[in-house]
Amino acid sequence: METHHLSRYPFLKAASELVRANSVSLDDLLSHPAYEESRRRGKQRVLDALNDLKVGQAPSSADDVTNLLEVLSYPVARVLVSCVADEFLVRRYALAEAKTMNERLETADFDVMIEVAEDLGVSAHLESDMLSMHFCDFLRYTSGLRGKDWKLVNHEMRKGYVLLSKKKFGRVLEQALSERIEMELPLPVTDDIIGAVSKDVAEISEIVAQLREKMRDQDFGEITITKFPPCMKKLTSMAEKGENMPHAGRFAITTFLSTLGMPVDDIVKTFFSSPDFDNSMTVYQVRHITGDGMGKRYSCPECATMRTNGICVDMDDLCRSGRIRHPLGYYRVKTMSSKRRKDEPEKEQKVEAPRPA
Amino acid sequence: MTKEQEFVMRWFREYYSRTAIAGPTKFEQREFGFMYFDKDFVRRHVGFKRPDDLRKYLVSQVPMHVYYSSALYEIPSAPKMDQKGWLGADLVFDLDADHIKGAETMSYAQMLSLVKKDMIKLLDDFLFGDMGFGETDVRLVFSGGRGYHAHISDEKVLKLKSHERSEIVDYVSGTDLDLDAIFPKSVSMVKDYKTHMKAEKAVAMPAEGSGGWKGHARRTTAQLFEELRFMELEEVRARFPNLSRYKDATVLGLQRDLFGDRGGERLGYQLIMENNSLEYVSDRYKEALLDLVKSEVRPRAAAEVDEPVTRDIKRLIRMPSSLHGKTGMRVIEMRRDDLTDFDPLRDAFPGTFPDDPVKVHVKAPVDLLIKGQRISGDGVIEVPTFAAMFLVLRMKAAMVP
Ligand code: SF4
Repeated sequence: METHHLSRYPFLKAASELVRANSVSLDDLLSHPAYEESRRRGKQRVLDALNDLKVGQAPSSADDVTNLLEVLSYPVARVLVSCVADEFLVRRYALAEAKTMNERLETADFDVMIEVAEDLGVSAHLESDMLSMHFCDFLRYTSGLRGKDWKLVNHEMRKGYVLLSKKKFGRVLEQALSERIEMELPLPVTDDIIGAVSKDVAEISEIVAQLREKMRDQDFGEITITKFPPCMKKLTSMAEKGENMPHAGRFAITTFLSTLGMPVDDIVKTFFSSPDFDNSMTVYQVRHITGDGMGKRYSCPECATMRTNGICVDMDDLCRSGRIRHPLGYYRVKTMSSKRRKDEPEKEQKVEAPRPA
Repeated sequence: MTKEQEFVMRWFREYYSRTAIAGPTKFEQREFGFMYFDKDFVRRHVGFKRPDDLRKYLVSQVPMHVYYSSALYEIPSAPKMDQKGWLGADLVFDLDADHIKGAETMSYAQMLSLVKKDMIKLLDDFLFGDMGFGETDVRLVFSGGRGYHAHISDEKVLKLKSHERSEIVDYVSGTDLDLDAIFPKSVSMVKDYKTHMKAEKAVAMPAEGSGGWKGHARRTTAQLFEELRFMELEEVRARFPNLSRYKDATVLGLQRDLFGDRGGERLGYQLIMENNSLEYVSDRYKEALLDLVKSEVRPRAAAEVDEPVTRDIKRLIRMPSSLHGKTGMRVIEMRRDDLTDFDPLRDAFPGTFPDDPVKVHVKAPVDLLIKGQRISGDGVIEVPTFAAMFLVLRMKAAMVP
C-alpha cells in the first residue's frame, strides 16, 4: 500500500492496518522519542481544527517513514480530543478532519473517491467516468443539506445509484466522515494515557475554555420559545447544540428572530457555537439577511417554502389545523391564545443564548 | 351481539382456523394492533413470540382488522413508544383510491383499476426501475380494501429517518422537480438589432438512456408526440387545456413542424428525439411545445403515494393474509406478474367463505359482479355466503331473521 496515499487519508482502514503492521504501541506513540513528530503533528491537527477548521498539510513525501509518522498523527489527535472530552471540540475536530479530506479529494482520482466512499460505508459506483452512490446513503448524509440542489428528485438515479458531480460526491463524503468521527469520539482513555499527554490536553482545554468564554448567557426578553413553531424550536436547538445547520435553516431562524425583534448581536450569538462558524462570516450573513437597518430586509419564509426546503419538521396539531401558513402566524396565534388565558399560568421557558454542551 | 356480528365472526374464525398465516419478517420484533367487531377499542402494543401465538389469538378473538408495525422494536409490546427501542422500519408505500380525483362517483372496480395503474407505475418505473430493487425485495400487497401496499425490508432502507423517507415520496411524486434543469436552455445565438440585442435560446432534451426523471421526461415527450400526431385541433384543445393561451395558428404550426413533411427522410419529432434538442421546431412555436411537455411530465410519470404512510416510521399497517373487516377480502401478497390481471372482487375472497346461499336484506338495489357471479336485486335476496359477507361488512345489507 502506498504510504503517501494513507498519510493523506489517515482515517482509512488500510491506514490502521499499516499502523498495526508496524506494531506501534499506544505507549510508544505517546512517549517514545521516535514518534516526536507524530505527536507534534497530532497536536497541530487539533489546534488547527479549533482555529481554522482544518487539520493542516500532509507532507508531500515519498519517504515511508515520514508518511508513517504522519499517519500516526491521526491516532494522536484522536487521543488528545478524547482526553479533553468536550462535545464542542469533538464536533469541531470531526468537521475539520472531514473538510480537509474533502479538500484533498478535489485533486484525487475517481478510484480514490470510490475507495474512500466504500471505507466510509457509502456504496459507490464508477461507470464511464461518472460517480454515483446508493440513494439511501445519499439521503442519509444529505439530510442537513436540503434545498433544491440536494433534493433527490433533482438527481439522476439509475438502478438505485444517484449520479453526482465530483464536487457533490466529495461533499457527501465530508458529511459521512464527520458523522463517523463524531460517533467514534471520545475513545475510552486510561489514566496512564491522560498522564502521558497532560500538558497538551491542558493547553487544548484552555483554548476550548476561551471559546466558551465568548459565549455568555443572554436573556432575550419577551421572546418565549414555548410559542415557537416546531420548525423554529428545532432550529433553535440545533443552533444551541452547535449542530451544523443548512443555509436555509440559518436563513429561516435568522429572519424569524429578527422579525420578533431580536437584535443582530444576539442572533449572532445564537450561531456562535456552530462548529463551522466563522464569526465574521456569521455577522456578515446575519447583517445581510436582516438588512441591519439599511438595505433589503429579507422576510421569514412561509410554511410552503419551509417545507420545500425540508425544514418544516415535527408539525404539531396547530400546524395541521389549516390556520397556519407562516411560522410567524404560529407565534402570533400562540401569543393571542396565551393572552386570552391569562389566568392559566403558562410555563414559559426563555430562549437561552447558546452554550456549548 | 347482533346477528350480523355473529354471522361475520363465524366466517372470520373459520378462515383464521383453517389458514396458514404468513406473518411479517422479523416476526418477534413487530408490534401488532387489532380492532374488533364486538369491542369498541383499538388494542395496540401487542407482541407475539411465535406466529402460532398470533394464530391462536386470531382464532380466539376474531378481530375485525389486524395490523402490524412497519417498525422493528427491541420490545414491541412496551406500552409507550419511547420504551420500545426502535431498531428500524420497512419502507412502505400506500396507494389508495382516496387520492384519485372523482373516486366518489366511480364503481369499486373502476377505482381499483386506476389505483392498480398507479401501483404498476410505482413498481416498474420507480421501485424496480430508478431505485433498482429486485422483485424479491418488494412485498406487494392488495390491502383488502381500496388499494395496494408495497413493503421493502432491505437492510439499506431500514434505518432511513422520516424526512429521508419524505424525500423518497417527493421523488416518486415528482414534487419540487426542477423541469428547467431537465430541459435546459442555452444561448445559441445573439442577434444584433439596431436598438437592442436578442439572445436566441436553444432548448435541449434528455438523451436516450438517461436515468431518473430525465428518462421519465424523455418518455413522456415521446408519448406526447405519438398522441399529438393524429389529433385534430379540437381534440388538442380538449385534451391539453395548457395550450389554451396559444392561438390556433400556433398549435397548427407546431403540429406542422413536428409531423409535416420537411423535405428530408425524417420528420421534425423524430429529429428531436434523435438529436436531443427541441430546435427542430421554429422559435414561434417552441415555447408552446416546451409548456406542453413540461406540464405533462409530472402528471404522467408520477406515482401518487400517500405521504404520511411512507413518512411514518412507527405506523401500523394491515397484515398480509389477514381479512379486511370492511370487505371480507383477504389482504393478499402477490408477485408483480400477478398484479397485471388481479381483480379483487374475483380473486380476493377466501376459499373458506362458502357458496351456500344466505338471505340478506339489502338497503338499496345492488348490482355487482363478485367471484364471477352477478349479485343483484333489491329488498330480501338470497346470495352466496361470500357475497353476503361483502354486503353485510360494507353495511349494505342486514341479516334476515
Ligand atoms: S407548518 Fe409551518 S410553522 Fe409548522 S413546523 Fe411547518 S413550517 Fe413551521
